[in-house]
Amino acid sequence: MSTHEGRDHWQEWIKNQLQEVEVLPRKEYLEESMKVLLATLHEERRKVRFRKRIRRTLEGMAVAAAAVAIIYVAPQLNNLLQGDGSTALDQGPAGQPGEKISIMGETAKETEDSSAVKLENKMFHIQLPASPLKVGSEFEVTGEVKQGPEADSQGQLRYEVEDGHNILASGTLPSVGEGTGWQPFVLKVKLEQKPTSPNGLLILYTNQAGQRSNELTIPLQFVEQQGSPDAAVKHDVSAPLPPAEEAYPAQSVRVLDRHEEDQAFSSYFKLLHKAVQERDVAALKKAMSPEIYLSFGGQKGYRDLEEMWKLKTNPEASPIWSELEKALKYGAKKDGEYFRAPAIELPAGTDEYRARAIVGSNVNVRSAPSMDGKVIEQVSNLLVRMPKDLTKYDKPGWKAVILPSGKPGYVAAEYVVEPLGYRAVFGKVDGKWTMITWIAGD
Amino acid sequence: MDDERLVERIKQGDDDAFRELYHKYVHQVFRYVYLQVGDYQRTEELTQDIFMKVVKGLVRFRGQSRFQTWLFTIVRNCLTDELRTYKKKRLTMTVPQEDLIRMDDRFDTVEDRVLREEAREELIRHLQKLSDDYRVVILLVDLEGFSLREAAEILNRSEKATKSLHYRAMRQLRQVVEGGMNVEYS
Repeated sequence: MSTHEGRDHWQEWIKNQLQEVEVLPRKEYLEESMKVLLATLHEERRKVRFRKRIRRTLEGMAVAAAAVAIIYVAPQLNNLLQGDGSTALDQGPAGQPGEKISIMGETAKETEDSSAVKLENKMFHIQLPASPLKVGSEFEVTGEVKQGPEADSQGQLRYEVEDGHNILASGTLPSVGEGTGWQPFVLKVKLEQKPTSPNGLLILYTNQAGQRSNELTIPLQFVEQQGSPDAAVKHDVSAPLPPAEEAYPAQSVRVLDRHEEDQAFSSYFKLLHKAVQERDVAALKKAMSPEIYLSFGGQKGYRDLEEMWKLKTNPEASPIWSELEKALKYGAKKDGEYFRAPAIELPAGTDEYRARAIVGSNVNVRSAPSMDGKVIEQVSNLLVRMPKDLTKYDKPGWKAVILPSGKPGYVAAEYVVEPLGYRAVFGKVDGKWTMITWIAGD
Repeated sequence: MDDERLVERIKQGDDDAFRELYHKYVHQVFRYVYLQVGDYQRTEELTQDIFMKVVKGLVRFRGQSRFQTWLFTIVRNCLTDELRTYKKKRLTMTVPQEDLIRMDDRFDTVEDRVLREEAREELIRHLQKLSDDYRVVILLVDLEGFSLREAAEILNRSEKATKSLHYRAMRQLRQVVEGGMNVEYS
């Protein structure tokens, strides 16, 4: 036998030996695993749907804006150019004010008031004073819904408010009159938790045996919530605790502040801190890259940030300050050539959609979202799990958590860091440190 | 149904398609991970992490490579850190009898079977003595049946480099096996 044949023969033997090895997972493991994976899959699908809707809505808004320009500007332009009004462009896309422009199954209709927008599909008509609709923690939307036998077959009428990360409110549409055809309705929405992003969507849809259709998406912009978190919840001891549920094993989170290791970064970081403390917009602008990457809907650059966070119109009240304070308070961790904030390191493999970090020493975990709640446990730098139904349990200023023991409790929001909350990345542009990313969500 | 079609159906909201895809690959991934880390409980955790990444990545899977190749790229990425962290532990591990279930009790006599099992366990122990790169390439090519081109894609190397790595890995495994216990392999 040649060496070659010997080697082949040997390799074949290895192959056979290996392929006969079977290591079997436990049956219960497979079942449990499948449950968790399916839940994650549903969550992922929901996110994809949400991103698609956002994209579609933004595209729709752009198309509507362009169409409005054609409707109003083109005829006038023609008059100016030709004087008699009978022009080739009249036969083109331009029409009379009030004409409908169809956008991917949904229609945006221009109304008398040029800033007002009407959104509609075959089930819903919505009239908005402006788009995106600026809303607080409670708001109203008026519109019309199609009634009649054909509409009935579409199923239940429902709504949902999302901020790209959480469902902030959901429910059925209020009942309307008995008649057929278009019936008016007033939808009153109360957000059950604080938005984690300045933008969101109100989605009206029909639900037939779990199947969603006739979705009409309404872009929202969340304006600052009224009242301070502390004042709102001081005496809310009656709020229910989430049920005990599966918990993470006790694992520590680490605060890895390394901002002082790089002298240039350290000076930059201190200036940024000062800018935030003093609510100094000019200094903040200097500390951010003009091309800063922002989450959600494709906004990018300092100008979009300025717009999203109202730094131009009402800088004092902008929610960006408290978000920045929260992100920067633990310093910054080094990550290759970048620094990142918050400087919290979670255990490897943490599910960032379900995890929360309680950061601090001897932080009180209470039985209710209030300073009057009984202290159940004191914990330090600990990884905990979010309860399954967050919208029900998180309260302004308080975060619901499931402790490693499986016990539920509330922690003051200032001690809680969420992996998908607002975070900053710092990098060097032209040799100078600057904030290159400011994002939340995934 | 082929994997790409299953992925398409999963994206469209078909949970049964996901169940089918999971059951098609979970045993394979589980065995592969176990042979890399040698710890049953850790294998359960890592396999779960891997499929979690699969679920989150499915929406971005565009079918440029075979699903199985893409899956094992995720497996490799998940195991890289793990292997770095647990190197010492793995080198001293032994494979517990009850973790391994053998498939060849068809015609053999009990004695034959015992001999084969011993040889196989010995081989698994020898595999653990190889460097991570060597063990990984052998498991991909000889255990999982990937072509050298696919293994190269998973390992993020050129095909030529992978071929040479596989050759060297096999040579070293042979040295380890022949230099160690007296194993009957012909």
